[in-house]
Amino acid sequence: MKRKLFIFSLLSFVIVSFRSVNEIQFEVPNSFPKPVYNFSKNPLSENKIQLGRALFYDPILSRNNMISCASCHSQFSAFTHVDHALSHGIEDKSGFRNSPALMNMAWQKSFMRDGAINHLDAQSLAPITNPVEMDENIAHVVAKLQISKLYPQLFFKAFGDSTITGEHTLKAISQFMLTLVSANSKYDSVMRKQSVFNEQENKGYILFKKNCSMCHTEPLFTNDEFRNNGLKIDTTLNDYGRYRVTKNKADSLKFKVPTLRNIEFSYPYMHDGRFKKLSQVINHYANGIEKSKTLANELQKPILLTANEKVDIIAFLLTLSDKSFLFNPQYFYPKEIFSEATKN
Amino acid sequence: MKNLIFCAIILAGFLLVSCTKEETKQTNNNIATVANINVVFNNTVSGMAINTDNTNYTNAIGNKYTVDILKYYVTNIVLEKENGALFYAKNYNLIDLNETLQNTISLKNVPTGKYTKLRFILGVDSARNTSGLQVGYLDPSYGMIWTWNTGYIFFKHEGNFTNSANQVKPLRFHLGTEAARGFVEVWLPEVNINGINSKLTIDFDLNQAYSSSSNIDFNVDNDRQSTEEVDRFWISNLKNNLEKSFSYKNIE
Repeated sequence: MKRKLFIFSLLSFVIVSFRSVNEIQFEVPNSFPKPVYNFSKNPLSENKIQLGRALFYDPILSRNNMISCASCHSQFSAFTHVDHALSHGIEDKSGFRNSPALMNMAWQKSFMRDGAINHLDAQSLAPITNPVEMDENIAHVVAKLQISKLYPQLFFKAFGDSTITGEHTLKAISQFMLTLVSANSKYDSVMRKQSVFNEQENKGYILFKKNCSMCHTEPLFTNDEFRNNGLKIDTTLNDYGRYRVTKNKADSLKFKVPTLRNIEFSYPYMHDGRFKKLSQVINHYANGIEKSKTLANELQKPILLTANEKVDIIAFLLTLSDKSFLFNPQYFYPKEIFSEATKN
Repeated sequence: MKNLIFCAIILAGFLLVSCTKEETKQTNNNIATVANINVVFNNTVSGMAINTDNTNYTNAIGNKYTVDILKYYVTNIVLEKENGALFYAKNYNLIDLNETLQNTISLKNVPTGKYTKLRFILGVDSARNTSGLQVGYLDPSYGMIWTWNTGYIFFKHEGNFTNSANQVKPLRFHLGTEAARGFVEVWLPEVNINGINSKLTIDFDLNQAYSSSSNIDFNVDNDRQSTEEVDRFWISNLKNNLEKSFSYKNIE
């Protein structure tokens, strides 16, 4: 028994010391709450993040090896797809929603516009499998990765095992996505008292707190819940949002409240990308609300805004742009990883 | 540094192995109190082995159908003795008609004695169904995770069937979600696990899955893979049927 204990403690010492060499602590920005994501089940490491980054940019995840995650989630637009209202996937097939911007994923309880998926690690399965997105299956992706020159060594570096599994593949993609943290906008520096809003931004901030922040709650600028924001239904798409998942009538026309961070660059707006400009979005909330049974409580009373006030709110929204996020070289296409593969 | 860690792991592994050997010796001196047993899931249509070569089978209400894919999760197996003592095997298995090796589940160190019930979850328990990716047979590569919803597919049958107008139509049943979890109890005729026998065979009858409690007519339902309200009735029918589709065959 004593011997067993001794061995156990020896083993755990070995494991602990091995882990501490590689693990990276996830940094929570000062004003942010505790992350939802359970890092203890997928501890971050530099090699895993880099593997995830390679996978994120590699079209090997799609059936015809032509579409990558980055095809619909490009960094310069806060990881969304700016060209189309509805995002396009494999063979230019059109999806039925606007791809969501990717940032601050560690704080989200659910994913997709309708919250269909409750865990980040399982999330990537959806676009990989969707026939109008990547139209692949994860078992085939794993087989392709296993026979590639590049990936068995990257998986070995990351997980200590060159035998690739679906779990490791998806967890590595999660790791890269978890590093997409945007918390360094002008708004953030004002909150840290390192800079100040100009007069217009300040007016906009006051109006924002009065009219918008119930759902677009600071500091993440989303309450991570589902709301019907009074959009008239598009009768060709007939998208009833969260109802599609829960089949509960009370969820009809509800969509996940998106973050407003980097909104200047993540156009078009709304689940179907119907608005190209922020002014259209503000006009919708001021004048365009369609009443229905499930309309958000927060929108029951009209939001009255003068033309000047609308511009003020937009001026504030532009302070949520985070250039250090949009141009962070750590999120770039990993040229160095891929060129290493062609050399060998 | 890395070499040192490697050596330490090897050393620890070696010590562990030597420990377990000692223990086995000890139990051998007495009468065997535990035994290893393989539980084999035998997939049938009314007792006959299933072919995936487009053979037509006929269910209780006369639908003709084929089987290309048949997969289901058998997890959290429990063996119950006549005196109520329970043996819990904490395992997650994916029975797959096309992967016969997966259909043998080996249970280690089962206390010897007479058993009267084998219980298992047909599906994945709530904790693992809703908490992201899992390992082993729960790995996403096995194609049993919903890709547009949360959780695992518990039971999957794909093939085709001949409808009442004599047309061949696809048959695709994916059963999952929290409401679809089956709790199966197989009666065992005082099966004596004694260390001499090593294989307990359980029959699964696919026809029972479509008729044991209520009939499922493929002319009405032939493509169900969602959680929609309209599927709730189908989900509970298939779940109830599946719970009664397993039976004891023999022990040898």
